[in-house]
Amino acid sequence: MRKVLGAILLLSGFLFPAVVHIRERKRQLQFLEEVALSLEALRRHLMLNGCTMEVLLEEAENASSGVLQAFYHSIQLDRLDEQSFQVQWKNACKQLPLEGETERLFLQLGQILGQYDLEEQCNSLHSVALRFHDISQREGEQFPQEQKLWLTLSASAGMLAVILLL
Amino acid sequence: MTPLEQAAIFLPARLRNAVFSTCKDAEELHLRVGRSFSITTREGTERTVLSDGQPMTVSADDLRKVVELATCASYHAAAQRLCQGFLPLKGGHRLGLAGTMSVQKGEIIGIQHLSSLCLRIAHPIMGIGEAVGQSVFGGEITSTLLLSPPGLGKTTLLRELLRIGSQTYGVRIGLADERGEVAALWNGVPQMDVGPTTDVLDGCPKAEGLLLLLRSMSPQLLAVDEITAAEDITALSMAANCGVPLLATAHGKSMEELRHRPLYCRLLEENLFRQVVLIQRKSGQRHYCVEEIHLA
Repeated sequence: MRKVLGAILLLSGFLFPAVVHIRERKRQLQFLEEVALSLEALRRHLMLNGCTMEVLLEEAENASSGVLQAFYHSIQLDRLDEQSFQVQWKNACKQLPLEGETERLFLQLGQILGQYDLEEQCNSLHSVALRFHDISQREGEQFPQEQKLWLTLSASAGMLAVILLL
Repeated sequence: MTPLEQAAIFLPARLRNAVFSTCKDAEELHLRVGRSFSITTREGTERTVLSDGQPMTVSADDLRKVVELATCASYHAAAQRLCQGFLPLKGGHRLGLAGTMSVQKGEIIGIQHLSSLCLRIAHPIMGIGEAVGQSVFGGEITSTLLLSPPGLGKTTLLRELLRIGSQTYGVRIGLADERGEVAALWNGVPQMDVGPTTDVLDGCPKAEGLLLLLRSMSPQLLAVDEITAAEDITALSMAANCGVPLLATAHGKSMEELRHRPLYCRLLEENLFRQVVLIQRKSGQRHYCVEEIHLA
């Protein structure tokens, strides 16, 4: 009985990080899609109304949730005097679960928004949204295999540990 | 908050602090890349702003910062005005821009590099046009042309007459404010007092603006700043033919000078105005001389 319990605990110990990783990855993919949708909504709003950044950020904040909402909220245009829009955008980026290409693209967007004409900004929003969507799609397709790999590796390692230790 | 304090909000902190310690009655703030930050006082003299006894050199970043603050990080929303070389600001102040412009098919489409900014501080002047107001609005409204060389206060007098006409005489006025210099609309609210019954059309070419106002706002008086083109006169003429009195400004020293300039010659030939107000400066004081225009 003790051995069975030990084996279960060992297996769980090895599977737990894999489950956490899979859950995190799933959230990341959902977030990429959420950002893509939000940027596309921003582009439409900007193109139709040509509104100021203040209005745009407010709309984006109202239409999003979680970390993305917190991101839009943290850019305060009444603090432009202390920190430029780009600096605020860059700092706020740190709280987003982005890395590699997505982080670089999102940071680049902050250099363009509010600084260029409407067309340039709309094009940038569109291309970044599209890229985020592509990445999320591509990684989403690979996700089941990745999930299987993580679970198999963790279970195998757990089994090996059970065999060796018990 | 003084007008200077209000306008200085658009400056980077280091320049703002220096300007307060240099002067309290600045009329204009000049920022030129690579050169010293300077101010023009109300007396018209340009002074260098000092910080710890040293002139402050303006950087390209300073200019970018001012534009970011002035546009609230929304270049696109102010692009049209920026291409015209100026930006109306909250409080009625105005940011003038100079630099390398991007031109496509003869039209300015943007600014490549900024080289200079001029922040003009609005100082509302009230109570200067009471007597002129009486001659324009007392009794039947009289079509009036305000005439003076540049810098003598035509726009200030026009604004004041609009306020008097609207506030004291209850006249419904339509103002075609192409460059936003008279009412200085900010988010739809006039930053300068042009009276409670004045409808402002901002950013629209004067000629089209006058006709739009005429058609849509049923004004009892149409006002326009700086008649400069033949189309303006055509629009004024159309308005006059509809029986709407006019109030406008033009550059010129005298009626005699105006008669010798082809554009204004037409204006006078068509008898669009019944009286002219000549603005003159005598021993540092502005004087307003109202003259009747004899029909051509």
